[in-house]
Amino acid sequence: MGHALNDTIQDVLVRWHRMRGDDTLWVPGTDHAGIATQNVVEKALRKEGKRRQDLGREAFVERVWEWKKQYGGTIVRQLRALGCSCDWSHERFTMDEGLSRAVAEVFTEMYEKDLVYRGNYIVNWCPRCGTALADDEIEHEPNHGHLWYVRYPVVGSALGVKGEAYKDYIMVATTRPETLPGDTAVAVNPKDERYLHLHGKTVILPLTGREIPVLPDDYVEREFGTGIVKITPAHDPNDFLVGKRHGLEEINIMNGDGTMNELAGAAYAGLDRFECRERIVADLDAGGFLDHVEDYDNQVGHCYRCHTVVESRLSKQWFVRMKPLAEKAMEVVRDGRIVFTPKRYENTYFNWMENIRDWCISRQIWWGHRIPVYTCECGHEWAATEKPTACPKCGAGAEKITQDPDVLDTWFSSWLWPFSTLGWPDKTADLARYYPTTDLCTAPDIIFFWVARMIMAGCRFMGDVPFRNVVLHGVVRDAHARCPSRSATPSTRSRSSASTAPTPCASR
Amino acid sequence: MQTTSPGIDVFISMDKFEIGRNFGTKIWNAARFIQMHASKVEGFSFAAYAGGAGDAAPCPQGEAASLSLDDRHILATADAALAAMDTALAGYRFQDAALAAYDFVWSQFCDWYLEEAKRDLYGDDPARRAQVVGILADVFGRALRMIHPFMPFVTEEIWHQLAYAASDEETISRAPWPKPYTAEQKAAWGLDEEVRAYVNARHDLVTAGRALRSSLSAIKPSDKVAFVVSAKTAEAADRLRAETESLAGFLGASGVEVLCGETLSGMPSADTALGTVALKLEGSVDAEAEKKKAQDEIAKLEGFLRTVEAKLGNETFLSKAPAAIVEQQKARKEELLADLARKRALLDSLG
Repeated sequence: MGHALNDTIQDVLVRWHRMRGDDTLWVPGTDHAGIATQNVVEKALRKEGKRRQDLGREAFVERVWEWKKQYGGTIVRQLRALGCSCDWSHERFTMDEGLSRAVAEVFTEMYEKDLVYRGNYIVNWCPRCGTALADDEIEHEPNHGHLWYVRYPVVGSALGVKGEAYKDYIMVATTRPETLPGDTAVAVNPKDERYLHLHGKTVILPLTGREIPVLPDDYVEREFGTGIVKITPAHDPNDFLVGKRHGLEEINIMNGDGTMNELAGAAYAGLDRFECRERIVADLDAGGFLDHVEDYDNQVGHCYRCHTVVESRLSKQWFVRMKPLAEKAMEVVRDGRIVFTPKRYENTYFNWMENIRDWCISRQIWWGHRIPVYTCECGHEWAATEKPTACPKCGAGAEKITQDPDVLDTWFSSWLWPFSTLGWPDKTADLARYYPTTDLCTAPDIIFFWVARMIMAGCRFMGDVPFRNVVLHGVVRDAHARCPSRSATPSTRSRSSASTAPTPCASR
Repeated sequence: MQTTSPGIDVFISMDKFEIGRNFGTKIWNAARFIQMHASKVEGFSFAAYAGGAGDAAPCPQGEAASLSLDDRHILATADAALAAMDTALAGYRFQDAALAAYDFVWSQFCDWYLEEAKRDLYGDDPARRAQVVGILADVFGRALRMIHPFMPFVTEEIWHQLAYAASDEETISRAPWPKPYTAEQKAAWGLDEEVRAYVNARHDLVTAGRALRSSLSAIKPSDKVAFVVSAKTAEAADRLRAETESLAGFLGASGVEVLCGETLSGMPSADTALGTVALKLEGSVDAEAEKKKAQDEIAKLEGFLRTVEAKLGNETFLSKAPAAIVEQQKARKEELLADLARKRALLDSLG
């Protein structure tokens, strides 16, 4: 329904402008919806008893293209059925050759200008498959587990042998005691009056003797456990974000196969994670740190392929440095070169832009634009728009060169839409005629994913705004304020962009 | 589109789609009506009204002086609707644009002008018939183009069926957007706010008269009843007197007597901007029976009102019932109060 509303609004604008005699272009098209599409094809493969690894990368991608040819036209057919007056000769898809070239060009330039970098990021990880998983590749299941209450002595209190001696300690509840050696803080809700006296204090991490701070953070739920939680940035996605907010160290204590490494401590290195859990609980008890244990039911994520319990794990990912891009993108809204309708969404935009975080753009899947970063056996790394035949440093041949296996986030191609669809990086007549475009129409839920990023890309790579007006409409709900569900898997998202002397309208 | 405010969530249900479907039917029926009458005018061409000459329209046909007040009103109102749409679309207020087009076509063009035009179209003056067909073709051609961005399919079909399109290759989507009438055209044809205000006020008077009819259960829709109007000014009285035939048609009246500045008592009446409109009861209605009926209904409404007021005065209900239910009861109270006021006025007017 949302599509139909968005497409209708754009069609009204385009038809009105066209009848008024304006030079009008509405570019229809779709993005490749990387993760969602790959999942649909993998599910189909599973019915044949195969995994994507059985096919290999090339054959798998070929399968996705076949699927796309068969089913990928749904959105475009719907656009036609609605009577949308797009310029069908301009239909584009984010995996088209031209748009793919724009992606490679942009990535390479950003690599050379140090606007992309590789850094740690927390991902879902299956220790059995040895691969990262997207959020929708995890099946959450109820689990009858435990909540261990662990005492962390406050620094300055007397350290004794048994619990009674710790006159001054705080109690932390955890469902995963094996991650304790990776703790780099404990946190309390800043409004929790029980713990106001702890702000700024330091506690001792049991079994390690390491001193870690007590931090106030809104993420902490007062009702969970004791209201004090351990923060393990390398092994929990929420803790990772808390860690980023407070600049905490990320200590990765686990190997890719689910065993503990030496950072977990000599006593635990090499143990399987669940063995380690038992050992640590026993050691905590022996040391007087274990207060008590409760039964606890929660949801635990499992790999949708092999049903192994999923871990959160730090891994190397590619990021875009957003601050330098955001400054310009805020300026063009502030000075009125881009106007939001309704105007109040400009505040939403500024709020997000002022607190912007770097954008993780790599995905551990196969369907998408493969990251154009190459490494030679000599150790040299570079980015290039074309597949290299020799190392530019040592001259070694293609067989010595490997390409980054990851692909780019789908939005990394969508954010170029206003100019990539008009032929960029070539200097085309379409670009001269229609860029900057006029109107972008979409729902407010993708202001950040898409609108803000298009503004950044336009300012950076075209030196001008991608559109003059951002028109935001409501989310479609039924009379009882529910969102109509998308029961079918979205194949691709409409990425139409229109231009009245010039306009992109755009939709999702 | 009518329900779409910028940035506000859209609530959909089937009845919202029905609005669109009914509107499509309305346009379609109007098109067939106009086509039927145009076919009786020799050599008539819709294509001349497709905006090709930049709306330097051949309309209105004939001498400007021969245009009726209703002709001038519908032309001026079409112009105002166009201006409202352009302003709304320029500000991305799609629902306002859609409502402007909808209201113009349904409430102004179909409900009033087409009805008024019937007297001339079925009349015996061929020059006047041709003139009215020209105005219909011009206004409807503008309306189709104004609606087109919202309803591309039905407008395209009619554009071809009525041969606004000179050939199959043409499309309404490339037809020029209507242009406002020029200041010269407006001056020459008498398209001004004064005419709009007068005809709108006359429409209000008819609407009020119809409401009087339907408030009396003894009057069936097919009954002819007598109306009397007391105009507020001599000028209004003169204008209304010149239009009594048309007024009688719209009111389903056996006759409309126009007075000036008199107080009308002892009959159901309603005040409007032009004057008071009243139903003459003698002969057509049993006043005593209507009085009894009104009294009974007032008693019934008062009973309902007491129930609702009791609920709204109950703290337990107010604190426990869902907000939507409480709102519903409040709305019900307003409704009952309005009904009661109407019935009491009716009772008073019956003397």
